[in-house]
Amino acid sequence: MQYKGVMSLFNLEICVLGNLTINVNKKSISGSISNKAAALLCYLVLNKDKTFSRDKLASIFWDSASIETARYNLRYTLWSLRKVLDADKKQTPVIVAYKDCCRINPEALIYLDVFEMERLLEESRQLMGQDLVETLSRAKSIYKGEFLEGFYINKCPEFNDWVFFERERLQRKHFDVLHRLTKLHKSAGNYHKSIEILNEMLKINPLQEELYEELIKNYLELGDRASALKQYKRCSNILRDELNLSPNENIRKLYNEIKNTNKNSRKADENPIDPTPYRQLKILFIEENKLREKPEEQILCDKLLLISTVCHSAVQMPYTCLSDCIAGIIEKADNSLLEKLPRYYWKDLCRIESAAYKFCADETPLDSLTAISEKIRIFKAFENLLNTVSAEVPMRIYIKSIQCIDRISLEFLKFFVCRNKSSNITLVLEGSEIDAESFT
Amino acid sequence: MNVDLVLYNGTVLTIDDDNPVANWIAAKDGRVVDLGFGEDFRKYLGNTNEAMDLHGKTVLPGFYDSHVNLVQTGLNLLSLNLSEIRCMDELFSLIRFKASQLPKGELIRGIGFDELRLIEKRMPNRYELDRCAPMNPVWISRVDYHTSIVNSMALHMLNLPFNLDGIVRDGRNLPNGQLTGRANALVRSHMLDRIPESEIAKGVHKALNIAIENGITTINAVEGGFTFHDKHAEFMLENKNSFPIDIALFYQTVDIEKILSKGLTRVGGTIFVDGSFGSRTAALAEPYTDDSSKTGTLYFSQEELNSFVLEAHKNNLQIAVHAIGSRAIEQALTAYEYAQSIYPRKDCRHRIEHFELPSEEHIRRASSLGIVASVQPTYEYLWGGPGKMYETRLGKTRRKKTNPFRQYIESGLIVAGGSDSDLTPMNPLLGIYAAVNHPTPEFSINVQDAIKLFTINGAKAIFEERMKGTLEMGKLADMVILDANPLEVSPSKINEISVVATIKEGNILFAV
Repeated sequence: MQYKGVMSLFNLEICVLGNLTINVNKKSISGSISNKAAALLCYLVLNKDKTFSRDKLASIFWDSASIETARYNLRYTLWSLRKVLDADKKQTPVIVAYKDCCRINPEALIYLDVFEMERLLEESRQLMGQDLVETLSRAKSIYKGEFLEGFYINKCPEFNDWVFFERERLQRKHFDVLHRLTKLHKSAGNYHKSIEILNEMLKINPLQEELYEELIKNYLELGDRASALKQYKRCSNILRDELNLSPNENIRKLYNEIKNTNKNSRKADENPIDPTPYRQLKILFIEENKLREKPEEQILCDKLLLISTVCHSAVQMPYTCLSDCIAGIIEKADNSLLEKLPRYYWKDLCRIESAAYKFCADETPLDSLTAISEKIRIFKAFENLLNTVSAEVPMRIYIKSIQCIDRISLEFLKFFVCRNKSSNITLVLEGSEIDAESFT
Repeated sequence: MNVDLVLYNGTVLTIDDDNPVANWIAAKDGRVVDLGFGEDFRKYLGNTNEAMDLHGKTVLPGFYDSHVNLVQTGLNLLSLNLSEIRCMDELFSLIRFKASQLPKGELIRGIGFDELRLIEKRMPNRYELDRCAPMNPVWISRVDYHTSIVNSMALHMLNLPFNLDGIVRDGRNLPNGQLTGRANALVRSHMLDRIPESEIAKGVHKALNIAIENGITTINAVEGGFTFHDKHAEFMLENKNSFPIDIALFYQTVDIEKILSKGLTRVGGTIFVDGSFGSRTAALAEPYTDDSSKTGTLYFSQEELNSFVLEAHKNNLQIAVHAIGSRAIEQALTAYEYAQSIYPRKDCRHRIEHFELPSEEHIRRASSLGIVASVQPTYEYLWGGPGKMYETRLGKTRRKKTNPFRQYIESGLIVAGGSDSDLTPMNPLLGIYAAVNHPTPEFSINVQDAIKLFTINGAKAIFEERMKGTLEMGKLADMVILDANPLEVSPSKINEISVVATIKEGNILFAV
């Protein structure tokens, strides 16, 4: 029988790849038949060219019962199946049952997704180029999941073994389709498509190293070295976490090639051996409430100065966030360290945070400045405070609800980030609507 | 002054070198507010919520257990324990019985299975398990977690990719239910993924109750990563404020970005640089005595370990790696030295978990790096000494070189004690006993130092010494009450001391 890929031609449509669905004349009969009946129907349809003795079927599906009971159960199940399948008497009966045997009627119009996939694969052998890609893509789309996924029949070992056998056979075909498609897409320059399919394959088996290797190669073709390196990292992390293994030699070699090829043209921070002490400003953007550990608890690490503040939409006064940070630093950092900041900077910080008074003795700021001059002074003073402290102790500044930050404090963050790439500070900005790009 | 709790008429061993002993102690708002000798405590008796006459019992700071696989310990408490079975029939009966108690479809988890202890010396196949539990998926983990055995229902449910290495097949080329290597890793991941959070919570609370009954008030939970599941680490993160005692999480991953994105300050735990003596995978300088073809396994190249350690170090994280054999310890120390040479940091307290067979040179290098040796003295109690596992694997001479605790302390290392539960029980008193009664006498330590392993050194190992680890004014009132003074009983009787009560921040969590 030749299937044309048009399901409307068929009276009985069965999909076994993924969750089982059985439709007769477009109506689902899954609720009208037992699981055993559905299993029997699938078994017969997949073996549509074979005739089975009733005793054989009885032993497959009712292995634990006596032969008499098993025969009775089979008889009843066949009857109930035929009643539902052949409700329309004008149509060709689906199952032909004789006294001692039964089989699928060769004349019945049946759609089975497995047959359609196999037909497309057969057809693909004659095709090339875009036709081949399209046909394989159709075959891929038919495979909606594992063979009879989630459909397990208790106490039917022979049937279940048959399911495992078919599942593996079809899975191998599906993997073959995916492999062929990635290669075809890659050779046609459709690297993104190829990457998409490779990622689908990794969802099925995240431990298959060759797939990461292919991903790396695809990204290299795209000229996206950073993503290629990221795939290596992804591969090594998952292998380490799941198997405590390093990536295989091929991938390591590929990784080293990428690193070495670009050695001279890359930034210093990618060079694994940097003779100078490593200091780099880091900014972490985190969605609201996604930071699990309370910041206060991180202070347990002696050598990390953690400053945290929360922005509120109701408090939008200029400098509020900066003022909170200054107060936090004064509270937590050693006085000996804070005293290293020149007094004139403390004077400027007094303008927005009164806790700073204690570091400028009696030299409180009396001068009146324009708003811009004042802002520049405060920005520079706070910049120097951060650099003075972080030169001795790594700092983490945690700002919650960043979307509510006052305008001038936000301006300062951008000012600081753009001027201090190598300071020993991590900015953790938690909240929604963060324009991450504006910090780069 | 009103206080919340007064303990009096006892011996308070503070582990504070300046004021080592008191007779009474008072707590308020979770902290120690006063302690002293004689009758001074009486001023609080009319102004306290609770007063306890110790009748001569001994108070110590609450214990630390510095290395616990907490979720695994909890889940194992809820699983079918197969470690005691001696034949297949016993296995089948246990599974049959468990299946009869569970609703259809619910997973049966078996743990601790070791076919080498069975008369038959073999593993079951899936058909045998099907017959015992036809209506339930069955998943058995071998004792080393490196092999899984599943029945047909579980295999069906798992949807494994069949091109996976490690699917053991029968004569008909069908999976026989045994899964090793990559297949086992994927099965563990899928199965652990299916365990609902409520079940994890139930197991963890059960394990915590055991910890509390043993006087533990702080646990270093090593979670996630190889043989475990990241979901466990996530569970600990999400629920850390809901536990009755303090849990410091060590997230076992080499993914530094992940650690930073979660705002954590430490990474690792059981990052396996090598394996174990039991499985002959601890990396030794000389071959194993009972198998001269093996010297153990290093799971990282030096370059890989350097790269991981450097990245974590540069990000100001505290790092903990698992290293048992001398080659692994060498690799770990080299990685820490490499990181320090590129990015010098003071007082980072990186850790080596287990640190069982170092050379004298290793101890010196670890000391100069300020390394924390996170050790498990109970290993020596279980496996040290003549005729036991260390001697079988390492021989008579080498087994006398394992766990030289006294040398660690003399060289200035911070030595923190743990149980490695579920491998050995969460029982600090047993750990103290084992360290004092070390089978190699020149490695044994005095009782005071052994107590420090599970108190102040535990605190130092996670930067908590300013808050906990000794009983001093202003520190948290985490305490354990013992029925005898470990400094006064015979060293051979320390393991007979009982925990009478456990107090966390002034609250009595457990009392006999």
